[in-house]
Formats: sequence, structure tokens, C-alpha cells
Amino acid sequence: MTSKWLVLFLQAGGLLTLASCVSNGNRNTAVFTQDTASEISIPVIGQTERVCRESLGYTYPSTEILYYTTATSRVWTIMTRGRHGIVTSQFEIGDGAIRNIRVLSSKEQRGRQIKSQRFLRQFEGVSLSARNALNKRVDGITGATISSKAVNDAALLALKLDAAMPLKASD
Amino acid sequence: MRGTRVATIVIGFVLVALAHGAGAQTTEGRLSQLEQEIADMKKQHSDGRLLDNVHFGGYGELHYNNPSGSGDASDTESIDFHRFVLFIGYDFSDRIRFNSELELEHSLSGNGEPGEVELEQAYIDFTLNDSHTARGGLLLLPIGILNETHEPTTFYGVERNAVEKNIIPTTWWEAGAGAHGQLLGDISYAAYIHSGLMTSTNSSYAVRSGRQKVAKAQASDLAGTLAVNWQIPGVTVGGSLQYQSDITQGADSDAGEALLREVHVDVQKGSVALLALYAHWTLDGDGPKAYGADEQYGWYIEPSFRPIETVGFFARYSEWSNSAGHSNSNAEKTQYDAGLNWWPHRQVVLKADYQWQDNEDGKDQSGFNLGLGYDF
Repeated sequence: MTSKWLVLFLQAGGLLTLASCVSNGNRNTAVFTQDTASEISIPVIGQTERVCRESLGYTYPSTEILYYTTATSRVWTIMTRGRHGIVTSQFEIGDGAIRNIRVLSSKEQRGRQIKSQRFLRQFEGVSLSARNALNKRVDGITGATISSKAVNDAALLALKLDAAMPLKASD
Repeated sequence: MRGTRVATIVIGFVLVALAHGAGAQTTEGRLSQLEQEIADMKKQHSDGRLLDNVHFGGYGELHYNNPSGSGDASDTESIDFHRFVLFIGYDFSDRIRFNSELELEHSLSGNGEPGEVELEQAYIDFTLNDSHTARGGLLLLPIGILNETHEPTTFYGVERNAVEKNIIPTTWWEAGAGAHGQLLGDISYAAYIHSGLMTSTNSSYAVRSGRQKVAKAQASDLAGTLAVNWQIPGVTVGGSLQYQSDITQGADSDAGEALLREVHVDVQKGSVALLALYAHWTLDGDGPKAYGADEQYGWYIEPSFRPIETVGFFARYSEWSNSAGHSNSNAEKTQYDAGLNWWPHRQVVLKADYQWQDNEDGKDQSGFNLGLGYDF
């Protein structure tokens, strides 16, 4: 009986691995090519700390926030709390709107889909509303509310930080 | 003059010796101080790393229930801190992580007390790659909507829905091993081989009574669960299959294999949402058949409306039976629920609902429930 279970399990595992190899080709099409050596660090103190707390509802999980600039945009790396630890997301923001987004790291389990392009694509073009919230309602991953919220919160914080620092010609 | 020179040299030697001695003491002192500082730094560094790898969380819910009984059903008027839960996790490395859930039910546990302390999760995840993770330990089974995610802020109604409670039966955990992950982008899976249920005639083979909770559990007959979900933003459609090789763990020759089939839908688009679930057990053997427990099933549907972020309204229709094998057993239960959730903070919820029962046996409990819940 036990050997029958083992064979079935190994067969299932083989099929799953094969399927995942086929499926892994289309991930993370957003392009973030900037050399991270040019990243600028903002200490999370004073006004920045207040913006973080207002946006997230808790203390920012790091002492600094990183960003770098391109010719027409700024790219923010934001850390937020997920269900199973820190979710790190990256947002390219230009003219006050999100142009590109990707999830750099996440340990979410039921919320694995927050890395999917189908979920992340909803954030493209999103900007701040007059009430300082996201101007578009983003559908979360059902059953993974906390994981989805982690990316929502990160998007809101990135937009607020970017809005507080208008791009200069020298940037 | 010569004596003065000698005296000067001697005094010089003494002063140099004293100075050397004093210097050596200072160096030793400095070294000792540095060693202590380094030890302190190491300790701080070590403590910091330890805390960096530890994750805490938890949730809790306080209930006030006030349904009145009709038929032979009893009145209920009680207040209960139903669940106080702490999560503790530890990351051994980026790829090997521990998670646990410790629960105190009904506030007070012990001999003759209403509650109990339960270890509901204690497993280790081994990340194989971005898509697949192996898991071993004491784990929640990936069946239905509530069993794995049941923080009070995430569902409507003071009490968990009766179908998942009595038929799945949530909260259901077993010891086992397997894997979970993602296939073809939008499809997730979980597959485990694990310990099984142990029902008996004493409980008319009701599946909920068979949970052994991994407490010196009989494990002569294993079980297996496979769950698959298709998930896109705002929509989850999924199902699970579970096979029990002997649902009495060999204790009852009149019972044997059992199979659970379950499907569910979870849709949240904008301010409206819909949950629906159907679950069905078949139990082999003349024993369960004699009680009508060879068929146990349930389903519910729950539309909800959340016009603003902080307030949501819901209605639910539930129907279930743990002895549906007898067509005239009067065992089918029906319950209607309606109410609201108010989230003053995203991690805090206040709930109010009203329940109506229309059970075949005429024993109904109808009335209101109030709840307070949190998670962090």
C-alpha cells in the first residue's frame, strides 16, 4: 500500500516539475535595467517616516528606502509586510503614474500570484487620486488578501514618495 | 657628582619601569575592554540576526451568541473568547522556513474546562524553486475556502460557516508531507500524504468527530489530498480531492475507504463578491451505511457587498447533512445568515449577523451574534 502511494506521489511530482519548466518562460516582462550601484538611499525619518506610516499603517520595515532615476522617471524599491514576511516590490514612476512594476522577492504562499503579470499589469497607469489614494481599484488575489494588500500598499507609498520629490532636470 | 648620576640613572630606570608597567596595564585594560566590546557587538549582532529571522503574528475573536431554540433545540446566550492564536515562524535560511500556529480555544483549558490548547500548524517549508515548495510537518489541509485562511478579518459572519465546519471539517490539520506551488502561471496546487481521520459508530461516523488533531493519533491508514486552484486577480476557482484508506484506522471492520470531493468559487470584483462551495463525502462499508453516513454533503453560497473599504454586508444560504445516505433521516440542516462587518482598521473587525435555521428535524436555533476580531 505504501509503495503504491509513493509511486503515485513521485509521478505527480514529476508531472508538476515538467509543467513548471514549461510555464516559467513568460515571467516578469517589466524591464528594470538600471545599475543598482547608482541607487540613492533615503533614511526613514521625519516626514518620510510619517508618509510611510500613513500609507502602510505600520512602521516601515527598513531604515532606508532606495530609488534611482532614469531620464524621465524614478524607480522605487519598496518593502511591505506580507502574510509570510517581507514583500519587496519595484515601481517605475514617471509623470506621477506607475509605468512598470515587479515583485522582486516574496515568500507568500497562497499569494504567489502577486508576482504574476496578470496581477501586476493592473497597476500600470495608476496614480494618486485627489484623496491621496490609488485612483483605480485593483482586484486582489482572492484568498490572499494580505499578500495583495502588500503590493497595493507599496504602490501607494511609492507614488506618495515620488510626488513629494518632483523630478528635476538634473535628476 | 658620580653618586648623583647613579641616582639619576636608577630613578630613570624605576620611572621607565613604572611607566612600562603602567603602559602594560593600560594596554591590557584596553584589550580587555575591546574584547568585551567585540563580544557585546557579536551578541547584539547575533541577537539582531535571530530576531530578523523570527516572525510573529496572531489573531483572536470574541463572540456573543444569542440564538433562541425552537423544537427541542436549546437557547444560547453566551459570550466566549473563541480563539486566541499566536503564529511564530523562523527562517533557517532563505529556502528553509518554519511556521507554527498555537491556539487557545474558549479561553480556559484544562480538565473539565470548556477550552483546549491546540497546535494547529508546525511545519517546515523547503523552497525548491520559485514555483515549488516541499512541506513537511503538522499542516492545514488545502481544502475549501476557510481551512487555510480563517483570520476573522477575512470572512463574513461571527461564526465560521456551518458547511465548512461540519463537512470539510475545518479547521482540519494533519501530519504529513508533500508539496505546494504554482503551475502554468495561473494554476496553483497542493498535494500531501498525511495522517487520516478516525470516525466511529459513537459519533454516527460524522467526519468532524474523526479529527485526531495529531495527538498520539492512530496512523495505520494514511490519507492523501490533492488541491488545484485557478487564480486570476479577483477570481479563484478550485477544488480538492481527498482519499482516506480507512476512515476508522482499522478499528471498525464495517467501515473502510472514504473519498471527499470539494469545489469552490471565490469572486471579488470591485465592491461585490461571491463565495460558493460544495463538498461531498462518500464512506464505504455497511457501518456508515446503517447510519446514513455513507453520504455526507454540504454547500453554501454567499454574496456580499462592500460599498466602502470599511463596511461590508453579506447574506449566506447553507445546507448540509452528515447522514444524507438515509433519504428519510430528517438530518438535513438549512441555515440563512445575513449581517455586516465593520473594519475600523484593516486588521480589526466588528461583526453582527442574524441566523435563521430551518432544519428537517425541527430543532432550530435562530437569533443574533456579535463578534470582535483582529489579526496582526
